[in-house]
Amino acid sequence: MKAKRWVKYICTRLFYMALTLFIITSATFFLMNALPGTPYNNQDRLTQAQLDMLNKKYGFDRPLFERYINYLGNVLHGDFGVSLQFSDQPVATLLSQRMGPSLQLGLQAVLFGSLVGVFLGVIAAMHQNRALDVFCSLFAITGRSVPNFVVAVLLQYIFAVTLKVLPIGLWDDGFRSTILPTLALSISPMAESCRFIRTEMVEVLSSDYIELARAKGMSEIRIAFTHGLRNGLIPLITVLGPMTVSLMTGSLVVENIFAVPGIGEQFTKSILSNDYYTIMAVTILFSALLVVVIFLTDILYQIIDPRVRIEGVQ
Amino acid sequence: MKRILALVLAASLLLSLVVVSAGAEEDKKVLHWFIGGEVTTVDTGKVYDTISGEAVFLIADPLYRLDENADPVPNLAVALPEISEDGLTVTVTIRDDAKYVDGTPVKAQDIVYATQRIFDPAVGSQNSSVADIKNGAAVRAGEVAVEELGVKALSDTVVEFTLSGADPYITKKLADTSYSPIPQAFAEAQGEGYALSADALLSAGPFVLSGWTGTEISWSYVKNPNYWDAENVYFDEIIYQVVKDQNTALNLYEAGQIDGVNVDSDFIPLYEGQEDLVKINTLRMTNLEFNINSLQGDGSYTPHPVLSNENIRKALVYGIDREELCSAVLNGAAAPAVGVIPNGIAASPDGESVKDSFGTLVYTDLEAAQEYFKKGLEELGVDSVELRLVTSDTDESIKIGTYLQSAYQTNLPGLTINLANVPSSVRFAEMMGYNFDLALGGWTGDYDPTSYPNQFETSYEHNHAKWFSDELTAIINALKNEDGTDFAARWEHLRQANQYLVDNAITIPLEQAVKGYLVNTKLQNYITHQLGYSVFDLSRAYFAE
Repeated sequence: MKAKRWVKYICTRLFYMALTLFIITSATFFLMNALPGTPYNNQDRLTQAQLDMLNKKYGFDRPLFERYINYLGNVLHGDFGVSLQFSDQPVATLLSQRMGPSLQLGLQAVLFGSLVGVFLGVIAAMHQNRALDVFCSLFAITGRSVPNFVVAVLLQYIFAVTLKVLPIGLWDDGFRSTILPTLALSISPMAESCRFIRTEMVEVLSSDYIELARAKGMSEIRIAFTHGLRNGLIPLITVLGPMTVSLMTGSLVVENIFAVPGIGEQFTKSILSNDYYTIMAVTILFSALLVVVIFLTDILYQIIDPRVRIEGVQ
Repeated sequence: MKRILALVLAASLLLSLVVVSAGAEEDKKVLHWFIGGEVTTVDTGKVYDTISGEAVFLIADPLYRLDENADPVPNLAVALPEISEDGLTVTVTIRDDAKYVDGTPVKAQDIVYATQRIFDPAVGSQNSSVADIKNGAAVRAGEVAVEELGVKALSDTVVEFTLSGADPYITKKLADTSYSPIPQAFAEAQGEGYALSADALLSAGPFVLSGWTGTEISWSYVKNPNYWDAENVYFDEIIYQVVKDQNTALNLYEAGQIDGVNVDSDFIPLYEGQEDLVKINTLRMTNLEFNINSLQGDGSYTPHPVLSNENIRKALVYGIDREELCSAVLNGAAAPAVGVIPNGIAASPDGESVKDSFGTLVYTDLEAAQEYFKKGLEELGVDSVELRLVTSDTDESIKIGTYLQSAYQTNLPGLTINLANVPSSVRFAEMMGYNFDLALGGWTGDYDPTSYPNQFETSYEHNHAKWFSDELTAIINALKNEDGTDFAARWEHLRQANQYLVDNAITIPLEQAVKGYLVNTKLQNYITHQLGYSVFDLSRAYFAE
């Protein structure tokens, strides 16, 4: 019975996810076509005849609605069109070649950042209002407020330019190339996790069942990590989900500073240059990742927190 | 014991391999070079910007190359072209020993095919700096078949171009990589996938593209052993690296990881006076453009409420200090404009520069500017005017825009400039809507100086001012259709066009861009270009021992 309800729940969610994606895709398509300018890089020198020729070649001379229907049809067949910024390369090639490094850096950053952040948060909560707490909180505030490109430039200057222990940039030194960009990107999840965990843990650590654990003679570290942390993790999952997506989809500045061949810049660049099919593909990709992660987060809630129950599932 | 011995032997063998390969690596002559963005295309027929221009330069084998004085010298061609008396027929004989990377010989038919591709609507090239080949426009418009284009092979080594009008700059134009051979059978076999990766390309130039599959930020050029002039090609490999962050690029250069890197105007003062700072005076003009007649919704044009007034326009031409703009704002990454035609593009029949022959037509004269402005306001019957200045949102455009706003408001009391920094595509859409006040624009023409005044000719789509003038049209028509190779008449008409545009204040020429680079001082024998799609010719460069 329970399984049946789960299936129903998941099917409903999947339907809404598909609907969300459809609405995002359609809205983006029409909004993007309202952008001023043409998708051609050389637009300030093209003659009218050349412009007509290019519009015809790429089908931009067709009525908007016809193009929309064609596009949806093509996407369903797995054809995402070509990028006009990248010599008519299929957009699918662009995304597949560029997603890897961004995905790797994003996951490394979330993993490293949240682990260290959780650890610092627990330490801070255990030493509430003492020097260690102040230090961790200060770190969290700094991490939240300093933009990651400042951190990136500082890291590059210290570790690559001055100490010469890590590469300045470029994606040609295996794992070593990923260390500095990962560190720069991990500051934000680190600070965020530290802040959330501290706040939650301070509350949890003063509750009755923790007192009981203390009375039973459990060590503070064991109390904090086994009893406190599980409850403190719940709100963190809410923020970590979308943050993971945003990190996996790359960072414009950090990727530029370390010369990483990621996807980070493509979203902004494609919008600024009216690269229609790239805008569409990147939007679809990012939204799909986001709805999937939100869905997974909701499922995860059920597993971590027995109090949360979805409608229909007992 | 035997096992240990075997292990030791194996280890020493491995070690020696490493040592040997390291030694081989050291002997390899490699150049590391910087590029500002990902390749936009490696199809020589589609090249339209400096990035694609750089990307194809080492793999292309154009008919001519430009020497250090920007004079064309034979490359794939055996000699300078034979040009008929009327200037309309240009015959080029190519080398019979040129080969593609795979050993296939290069034929004149491949030049014909390459030229056709530039105009073929099915290929869809954005290249706008093309020679005026007969039927070119009609082929692009799809009105006549591509075979009707004025280019044909007379034999395996002789190609004949037929032009629409006599063009004394045709040899320089044929030095463009667009006129490099493309093997038709190979390209057609690749179909839509042609030149979308290094494997889908067959080139005949000094180097071969390697390790590029479409979107990389690093790729390399490997020496082509089949190149007809391979003995004068020094580097075994030239590695290109896309670095978009200026700080990172400079850090990589200073760490010795890159041998040549671009320097933005902000960083030029740091390197001023250093031996490795290379400055290239380009022929890129930055103009502050006016809209003089504005396009209305019904397709008609009405005079711009403020800028149709000639005195107001003249006040803006003389009310700005170009020296200060170039030195204080752009840190020397620009030279003050002298007129609409850039200085350095060509010399007069007497060998004089544009500046010396035509004079410095645009300069600072605050008194005159204020007088013009006062007169203009009186004619308009107002005390003050407000204009919107639209610029792109790049660092440099914002800097120039902010400077212009502050300088004009100080120099011309009563003038308010509202600044709008927008993405380039938005700025350009506004300019092409022919309904704006002021816009920071630019123009890079070709080696024919006519390409500069031509942008203000009545029928030209990039005449953003929408200045309608039969007088200017007559001068441009004379330059395009009558003067031919009569350089004295041509120079006189260029003088008239330049003077006309300044006298009527149709645009405000501001500056000519100077590009800054840091180049490893060991690097010798490279050539820099003032114009065209590639800045550096590294094909014959070498490291001084």
